[in-house]
Amino acid sequence: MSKPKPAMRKRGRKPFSMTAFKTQLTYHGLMLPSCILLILFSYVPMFGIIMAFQNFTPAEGIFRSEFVGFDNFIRLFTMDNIQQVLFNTLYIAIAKIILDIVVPVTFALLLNEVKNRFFVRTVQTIAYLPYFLSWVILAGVFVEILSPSGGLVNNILGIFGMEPVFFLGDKKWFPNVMIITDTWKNFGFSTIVYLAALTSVDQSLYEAARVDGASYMQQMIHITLPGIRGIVILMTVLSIGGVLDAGFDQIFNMYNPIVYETGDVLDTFVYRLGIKDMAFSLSTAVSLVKSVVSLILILISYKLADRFAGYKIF
Amino acid sequence: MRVLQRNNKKKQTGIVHTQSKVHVSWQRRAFNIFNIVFLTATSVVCLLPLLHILALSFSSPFAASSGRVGVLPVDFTTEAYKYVVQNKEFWRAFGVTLVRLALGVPLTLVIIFITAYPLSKSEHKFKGRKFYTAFFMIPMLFSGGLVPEYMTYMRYGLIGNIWALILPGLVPISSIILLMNFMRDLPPELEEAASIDGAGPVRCLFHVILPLTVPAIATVALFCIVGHWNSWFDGILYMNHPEQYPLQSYLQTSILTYDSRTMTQKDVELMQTVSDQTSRAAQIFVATFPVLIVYPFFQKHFTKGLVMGSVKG
Amino acid sequence: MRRRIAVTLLAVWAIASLPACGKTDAGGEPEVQAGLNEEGKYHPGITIMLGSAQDPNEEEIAGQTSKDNVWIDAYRDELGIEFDNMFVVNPEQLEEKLNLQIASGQVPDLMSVTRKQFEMLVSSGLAADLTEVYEQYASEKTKEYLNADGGICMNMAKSDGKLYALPCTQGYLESPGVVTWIRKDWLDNLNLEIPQTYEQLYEVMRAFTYDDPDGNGLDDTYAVSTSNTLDEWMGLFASYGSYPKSWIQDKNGEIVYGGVQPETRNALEAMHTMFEEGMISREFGANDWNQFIKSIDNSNVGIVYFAWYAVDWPLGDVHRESGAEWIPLPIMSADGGTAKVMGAAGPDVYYVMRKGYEHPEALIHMFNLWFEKAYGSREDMLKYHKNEKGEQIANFSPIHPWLAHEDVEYYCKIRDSLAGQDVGEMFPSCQTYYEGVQRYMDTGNEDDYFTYKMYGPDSGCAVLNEYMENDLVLFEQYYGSGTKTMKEKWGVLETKQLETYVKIIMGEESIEAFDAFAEEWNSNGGEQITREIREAAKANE
Repeated sequence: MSKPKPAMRKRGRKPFSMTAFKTQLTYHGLMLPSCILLILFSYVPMFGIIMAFQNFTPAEGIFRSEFVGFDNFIRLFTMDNIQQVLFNTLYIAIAKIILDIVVPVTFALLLNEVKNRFFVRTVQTIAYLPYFLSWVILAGVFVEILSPSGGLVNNILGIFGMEPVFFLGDKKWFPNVMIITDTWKNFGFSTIVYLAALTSVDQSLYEAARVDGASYMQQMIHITLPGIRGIVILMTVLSIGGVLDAGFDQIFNMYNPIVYETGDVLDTFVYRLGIKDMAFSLSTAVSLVKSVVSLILILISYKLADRFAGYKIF
Repeated sequence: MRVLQRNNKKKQTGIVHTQSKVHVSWQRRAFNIFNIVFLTATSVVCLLPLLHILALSFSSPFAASSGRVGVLPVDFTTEAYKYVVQNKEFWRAFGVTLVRLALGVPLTLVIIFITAYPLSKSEHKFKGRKFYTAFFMIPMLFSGGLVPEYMTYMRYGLIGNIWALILPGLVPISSIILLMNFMRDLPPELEEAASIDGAGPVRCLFHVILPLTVPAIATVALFCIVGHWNSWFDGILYMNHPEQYPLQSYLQTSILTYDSRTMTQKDVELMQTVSDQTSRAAQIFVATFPVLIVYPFFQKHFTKGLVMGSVKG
Repeated sequence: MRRRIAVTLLAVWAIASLPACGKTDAGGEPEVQAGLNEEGKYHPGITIMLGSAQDPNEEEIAGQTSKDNVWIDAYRDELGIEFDNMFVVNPEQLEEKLNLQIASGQVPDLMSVTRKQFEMLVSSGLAADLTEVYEQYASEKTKEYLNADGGICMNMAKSDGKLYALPCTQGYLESPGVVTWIRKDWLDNLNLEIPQTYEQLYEVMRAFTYDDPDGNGLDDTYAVSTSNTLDEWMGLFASYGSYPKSWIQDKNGEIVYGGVQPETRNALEAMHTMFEEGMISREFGANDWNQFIKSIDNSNVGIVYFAWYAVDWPLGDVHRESGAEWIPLPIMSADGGTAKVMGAAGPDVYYVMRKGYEHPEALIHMFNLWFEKAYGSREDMLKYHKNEKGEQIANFSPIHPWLAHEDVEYYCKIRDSLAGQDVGEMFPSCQTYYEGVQRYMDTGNEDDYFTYKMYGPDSGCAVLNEYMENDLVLFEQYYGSGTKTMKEKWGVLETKQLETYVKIIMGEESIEAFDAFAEEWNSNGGEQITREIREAAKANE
């Protein structure tokens, strides 16, 4: 944001002013509740990370469990299925990120060409409706319509004489179903942002282009796309931090052991490792590695956002 | 506000312009038709799964299990809904969710509002902002993980308590960022005028800022409502009795796991008119309905708030 | 500054963690003091904290619920023991919830736990040592009944020679996959004889798949299905002499893992053929237990491999709703005759008392009372164990160990008695079953249907008896709690095994994949585990 700084601000910068001090105090006071909550509910549990360096035994607790240095991390990286899990996570997450850019941008571009506002409104509303439904509900829906016996999709495939496909029980299909359904759920939401960016492209540019006899295609390439380039870069960059988040809620509610090979992602893996197998230390180690990697990616992406889109978070 | 008005004006001029255009090439016309058809088809794809579930819930169990139901009910019946209406567990869970919303949403909104305000000030105006920034960023990146969180909440005595579903989520950082960005874009003159009149920051906040941030607050409120409505994992994790489960947790355990052992004799008689499949569909639909209802109320502000908050005008 | 914050936070954590640490430690060595008065009752009464599972749509059994039933009354009135719940969750969540509580070090006083949890509780010092109180308080009957399986279960409840749990004892032929259950009504619809050999069974499977056995005009049936653990196909594997999830003896008497033996390869090859022919559910690989049961309830599947009592549960529903008629047959060997089946060793459930709880001996008293009531007089048995309708009231008790192989004995007595032999005085439960079987044979009374199918002639127990009499039971060669390498690698090996099997059966991979799997299995720890298990077995001898 580069707003011209009003003169007022400069005047407020006196050596000491009671009002200014009170204002500062009030600001800090307003921050207090959320800070206390964060300490209690985020910072205190963070000491659980210590478990990653321990052989945690419940009765001993965090303060007396034996420290084992980096043993858990070494074990983690030598686990047989960790590579597969990592690959699944990256595959699903990256595909989701790409589709969540491409589909909404395309959709917004097409929608922007329609002049009937009622139509635009309706389509937009319908498209982002699924965004508001939980994965519990949607898992129920998809299990139903993707069922190989009598599910809607397979009935339609049947009309075209195709063999029923067991979408949620087939290793090849499962990750792709996750990607597609996730895009289905979320694209309408991102469309709003892109559509807004499109409507704020300077209309006089189009007029000038038309006067010069530019075709619709040329207008799109030379005016529309550059106009939304910033926001597209921004959204892409911001999603990089989520490269290790393949969507716990979605996958947890739809997967089953038969598709673990392709469908098990870091978060579901950590969940099973920690809560089902009681490998408390090991699962904490996995979470920690994930946090660190995400941290690095987010720092990089914020730097990129700052450089390419001039956008500062906070 | 200013920015928004500007945007609107632009939009209007755009529309006026194209309407005034007379000649349209046939390629363009073909494209328009294709475009409308395509967009309509996409909308249908978005709605289809939900329509199918709706149709299933109104169909007879036999029609449902034989796969004859598409987007329209077959052998129309409301038995599945009668079954859901009689389902005490469903409504108890529904009630828990309502309590959760009533407690969680107002509190969260207050926290978001009062936190976003100081943060929207520059470091120059609010000493220590940098520290707070770091302080808020860290929880976004690191968490102790499920087990330590459970252990901590246990010590706080929150396990089995509805506050365990509310307190940990009271500081949604992304919503704070959204509102903060929105506040930053408000013209500073208004607030400065107010403070010259002798209004302190708190009065400024509630009398000047609050009315101006309604679109953004509506947006975060929608997120907050939907978030509370949809969350299921914490309920399963932190509650000690199924009676304490909120609706989505209840649905997660009842819809996604079919167990013939839970069929009672009464259910068996009901099987003639309601099946697992149709009652599930009805439950899904009843659980979705409130979100569909609440959504239009917020929609007006929603686009504005979201766009302004995330994309700076 | 930053450091001070960290220190403060650490302090908060420390304070927050204190109560738990205090609680587990304060008790130290609990006073072994019975606290029972002359009537053998706690006075004042004690309360035991439980963690329970409860179905959200719980069914009333004999007019009783989990909150109000004869067992609660009995423990309260006769022992002065009352129960309270630390938490109640859906059955599917019980394990996870308890794991979280274990992690927090705050566990209920009495827990029913899995093997894994049992080990965790013992290794983290949360389980009370029951050795002394068991010796001191267990009644003769309790000791006798708990050891009826030859002591396998009791041994597994020990660690380093100390008793940390009482096992939920059961016989070794209780696992699924030892009895073939066939839809008799389908056989009748198609005018087929009851198959006597594997070849005939195979023909039946074909007919069930192709000839529309339910006569609804739809091609919606297949012969066999299972849940995705393949546990319900252990019977089918056994037909080919394969025991893929067990440690068995090979021809040379060496302990080997069944999952990588050539017999298993043959079985998989045969299953692939069956899958190709459509005799196997297309969805078996993704079926969880519930979906598998659903396919039975929907009358899609005609042959299942289950335990001897399956006719009541889980097959009872489809009988009541669609009139399905199930008959039990032994597992037939592809080489002719009856196949050998795997006897599962050890308990599924362990009852553990929390260390530090003042009355660890209460569990022993509960066991005494349990065996006294559930295996006592005829009256008690009907009231506490199973009533005339065959409803399991026993399940209301927080503990319910079974007397190993009691059912097979009952069957034998009932059979002999029906044949006019004098069998002496029957055990009260046996007497009840005998009358039920007789009633059913005379009148075809529906209430006695399940009793007849479980204890009558040609019942599930008759099949078990055939195995036992003809020495057709194989035993797990290893039933410890996991060797060192096993603890590290077993999970991965198991997953890989299941995956490979499913792929082969579904034809995604050719049968050669089995050889590759076997090799991989050996090199990824399987060989090492086998060595360790052989050593452990030698040490045991």
